[in-house]
Amino acid sequence: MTTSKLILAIFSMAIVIFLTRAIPFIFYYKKTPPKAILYLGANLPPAMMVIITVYSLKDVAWMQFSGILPTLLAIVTVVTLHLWKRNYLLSIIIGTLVYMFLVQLIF
Amino acid sequence: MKFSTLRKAFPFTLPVLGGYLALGFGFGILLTTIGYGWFISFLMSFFMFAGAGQYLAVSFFAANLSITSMLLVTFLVNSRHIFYGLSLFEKTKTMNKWEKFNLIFSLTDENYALLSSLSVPAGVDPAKFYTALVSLNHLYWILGSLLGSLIGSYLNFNPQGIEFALVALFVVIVLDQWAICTNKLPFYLGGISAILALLFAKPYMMPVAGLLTTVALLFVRKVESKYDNK
Repeated sequence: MTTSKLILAIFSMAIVIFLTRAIPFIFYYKKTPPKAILYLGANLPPAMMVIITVYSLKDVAWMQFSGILPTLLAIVTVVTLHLWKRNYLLSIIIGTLVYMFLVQLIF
Repeated sequence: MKFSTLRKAFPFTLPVLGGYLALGFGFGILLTTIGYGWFISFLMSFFMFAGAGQYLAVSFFAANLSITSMLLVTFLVNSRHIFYGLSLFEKTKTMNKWEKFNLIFSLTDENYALLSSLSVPAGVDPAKFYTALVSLNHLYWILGSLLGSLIGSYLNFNPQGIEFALVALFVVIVLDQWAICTNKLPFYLGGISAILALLFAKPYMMPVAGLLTTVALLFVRKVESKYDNK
């Protein structure tokens, strides 16, 4: 690939990515969005967060023990810790360490 | 940007710090494997600022895809971001043009997750606080990718599995939102949409799940308002 094509590709992809992020702001700039849109604004975030969570797990090898177990154990750790202490940093750091330990040394 | 605002925003960015340094590092290493160094790494992380998008771009470059195909796939993968802005109008109301541009430019999964879940500490201007937050995260992302490009191949530390920090961040946010939200329906709709999309449209999981949830929510709203009018 030539350098000019590489640079062109990077900047045009950057523009496409920016557009996907800017679309709602372009359409509702300077006016109040309709009620349906505001309803979505209030109720989409929890739904999208669940979707993002599932998305972040989509490449786990669900058919193999060595894929499922570390992920499940680490998630159980995060959930238990968080329901208990409600300290997001603690939950994330311990959960990640458990996961790293499991994938590097056990599975 | 006042230093005190940065300092107040910093603790909130810590989970993303770990995740972005690790994922950025991985991206830098990946880019070296196809022969591109720190400068390309910097350009991409500065101007694209998209985790999945940039990893994917490396595979485009390796395959020397046409620019049209690159743009099409990039659009599909990032189309999930279209839904993010919808819930951020309130937060951008007090922002000036530059701050708004910067926030939109920085609307990654992780920034969206932070922005839609955290509450601004007392005594801080929300617009400045959000700007500090997304700028710090952008900095971590750039730093991670530069480090990956420059020292990735010399390092003995085994970072395998550190990317789980992002999963943990998402899980924690879902738990916190669950505790706050009185209406639990969006959680169920999101879960069902995600699983359906994963089963039947895996490559386009995000846009399909986003669309399904949006349609389902609008349908619920319509039914509810009909019921209320009677």
